[in-house]
Amino acid sequence: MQEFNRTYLWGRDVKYRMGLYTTAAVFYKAVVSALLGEFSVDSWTMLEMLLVSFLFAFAETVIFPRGKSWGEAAMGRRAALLAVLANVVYIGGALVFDWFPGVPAWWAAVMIAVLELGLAALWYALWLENRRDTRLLNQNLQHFQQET
Amino acid sequence: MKITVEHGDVLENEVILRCRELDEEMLHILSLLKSGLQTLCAWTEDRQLVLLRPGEVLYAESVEERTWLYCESAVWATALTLSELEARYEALGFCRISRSMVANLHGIRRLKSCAGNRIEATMRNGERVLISRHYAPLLRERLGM
Repeated sequence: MQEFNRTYLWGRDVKYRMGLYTTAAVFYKAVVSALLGEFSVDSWTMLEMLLVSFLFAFAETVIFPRGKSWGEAAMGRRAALLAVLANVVYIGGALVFDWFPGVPAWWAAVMIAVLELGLAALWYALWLENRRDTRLLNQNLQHFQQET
Repeated sequence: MKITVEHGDVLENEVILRCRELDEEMLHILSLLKSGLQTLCAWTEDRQLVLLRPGEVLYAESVEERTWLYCESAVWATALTLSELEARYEALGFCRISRSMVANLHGIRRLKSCAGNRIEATMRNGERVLISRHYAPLLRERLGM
């Protein structure tokens, strides 16, 4: 039963992440298609994106398993591995499934830059969140030390 | 060890420890007898007893079933367990921060939020201790967050 519960929770985790990444990939494809004058994304492409997102979400749960934590250096290594994997999985997916047909080479470079910016934005958000939390923690600590 | 309890018409309760030398067992008993709410009885490696104010302790760590008290510039042993320290001195700011550590919140200079819901505490003496993911919510609660 315990094994089943663990697998079930893991499955739920993968499902949430997969949903989020699929939405982002479909949105990205929709924007690029719209810029090329096409205002639809076919179901087959969405299914392919779902599959690639599942692979990435699966890898993410392996690199960052639920309930585990590491030191700063190990965390950095795992995050770097995940960033490399994001590039390999999504750029590889785009090439293998031909998600952006007829896109010129310089466009491809811009799209990759957007992907990198997206990853950097993700890290910036985490950094901002940590900074805000640190400030709050210290404010409350000072308050506690003065009060008691 | 032989334990004798004598009942008699005495003015004040008295405990007499009779031993050849102050060994570990005697130090534990002495420490338990002397540790009150305002003082914490501890000893050094050369078995010298000291009475510490809880405020002097930055954090306590349990290593191989022994509890160590870390002050600004010295480390002392105590007979109290981490749970006992936490329970006795909670009102004075003692808080469990990991399975093997209890920190004095007044001994923390600053806190830093880390990835994985952990918190790094820099103590007054510059030492850094990590508050585990499991105990971080407890600390946040103590700080009124």
